[in-house]
Amino acid sequence: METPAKLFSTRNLIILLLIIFAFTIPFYVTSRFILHILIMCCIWAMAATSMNLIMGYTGQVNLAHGAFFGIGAYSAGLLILKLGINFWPALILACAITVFLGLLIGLPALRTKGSYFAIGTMCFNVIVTVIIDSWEDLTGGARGLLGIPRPPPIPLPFGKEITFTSMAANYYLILVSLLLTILIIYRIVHSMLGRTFMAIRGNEELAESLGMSAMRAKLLSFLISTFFAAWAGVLYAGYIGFLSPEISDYHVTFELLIFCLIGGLGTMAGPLIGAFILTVISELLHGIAFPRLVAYGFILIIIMVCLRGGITGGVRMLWLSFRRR
Amino acid sequence: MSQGLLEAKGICKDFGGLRAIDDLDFYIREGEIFSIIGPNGSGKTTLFNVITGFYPATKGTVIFGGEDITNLKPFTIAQRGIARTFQLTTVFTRDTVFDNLIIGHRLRIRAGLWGAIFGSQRAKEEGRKCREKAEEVLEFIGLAREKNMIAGNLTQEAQKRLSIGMALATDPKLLLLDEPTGGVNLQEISSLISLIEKIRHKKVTVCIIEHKMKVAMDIPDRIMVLNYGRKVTEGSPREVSQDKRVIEAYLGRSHAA
Repeated sequence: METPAKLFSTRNLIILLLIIFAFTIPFYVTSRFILHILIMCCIWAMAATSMNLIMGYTGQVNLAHGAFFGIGAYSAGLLILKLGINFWPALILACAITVFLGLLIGLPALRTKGSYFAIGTMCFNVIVTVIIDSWEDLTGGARGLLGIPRPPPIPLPFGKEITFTSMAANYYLILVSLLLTILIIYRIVHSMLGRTFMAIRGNEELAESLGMSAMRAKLLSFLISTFFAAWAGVLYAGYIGFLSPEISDYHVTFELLIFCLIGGLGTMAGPLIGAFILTVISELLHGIAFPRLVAYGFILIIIMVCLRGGITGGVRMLWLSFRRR
Repeated sequence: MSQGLLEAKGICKDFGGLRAIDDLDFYIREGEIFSIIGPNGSGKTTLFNVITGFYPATKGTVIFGGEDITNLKPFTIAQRGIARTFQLTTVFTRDTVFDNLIIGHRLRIRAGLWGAIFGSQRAKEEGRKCREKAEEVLEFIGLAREKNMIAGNLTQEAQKRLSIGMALATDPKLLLLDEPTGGVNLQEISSLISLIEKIRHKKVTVCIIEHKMKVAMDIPDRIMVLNYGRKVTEGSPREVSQDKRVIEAYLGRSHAA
């Protein structure tokens, strides 16, 4: 359907170059620290991108996203450690468990609208963290879940296999997951299903009068975003190897929210930009005793007052005024 | 005994202790333009909201095309073939005119998740169908030049057209228009009237709530007058305009003599 001219547009060329760049990084960057930061960027970008689907494109402020990230991570960790399940099936099972819990929460929560939905989901988030923290027999409580192994090798034909012992291999695993997440969410957003989500965001009543079931659309969007949050959580568990209740805390939710807002809510690039910039900054500032959330608060106020569309919105505005000239 | 496309029997709607609609019976014939008039607060918009499922009826039944549609969900009723517009002009203000019309046809396709992700043949076909419908309606409502404009930037009159267009894109059998000329100046009304006339020729039954006498009296085949949620009278524009009770409802008892 797309013409060649459109296929090789400036935008697509930039995206292609960025992907090639991302894939070649391990060839010239050997520093474990830098690779670690990039891996964390990718994990958070995945979580933020999925949050963007329900919040940015469907207009439902879901403040339980961190909980689903944590549930995914803990499900995988427990499946691997307690039941001895292999990482790969555990990945799928953990996503399924999280989506199922998402369904249980989504059905009642999505009956509420606007700020009530935000408050309801936030309460759920707090509850999840409390349960993980106090169910010591299962989750290890505040001591956390230790020693989750790295993903086992994937066998290939001719006796070869992909191993995940090196940083570079882990980086590739998580990068590919991120790209898949972006691709799938991009395709959803640019389909009639995505248009349905955006119609709900625009005006729920009008959408219903045009024959769209708001509940069905919202629930679907909610579950898709939950699925990818869980996936990111499982990758986190496999990479870090240690889980504590803080990983499901509402602070995680707010960090993801801030990534989306600063990058630009309701745009594909926004959550990626936000996640990469802020993750890099916060990892670099790790050594310095700096109240990160206070700094985020200030940035957030500035963005909300001066730049409602976030960085993406700002760039777009600049680009438009540049073209008009 | 079936008299029409839409039949309402004994409709009541209470808001707390207030009875907004009181035991209302009426029907709309297929292919006609039916108009509902009445003073402010007489229950016209409430009636629309009951028919389209936005408010549950306290009592009574609504039958559409021979099937009971009382208290179904709004989106189900839209899928059955009743489209509506709102009193306060409602369009997706951030989207373009064309995008607004595309989403209007959404209910006639499946738009599944797998089709979206894998770009199936069916999904492509569905997208094409919606765009074709949007083009057709765009031409019909006379907004072809505004195709790529942001809907929120249109004039009030153009937004009214667009909202009617979105309702038409759902392929309705019955179209409910809540004050289609509200907030539009007198010169622009005639173009909206001719649009409504054009809709009738498309074999779509139309029901209008209207205040402006020109619209309420010139277009419809039949008129129903409401006051305090009750039917005052019903009939052709001529009959209704000479009915004492109507004058009484609008102007008070002293003028009715």
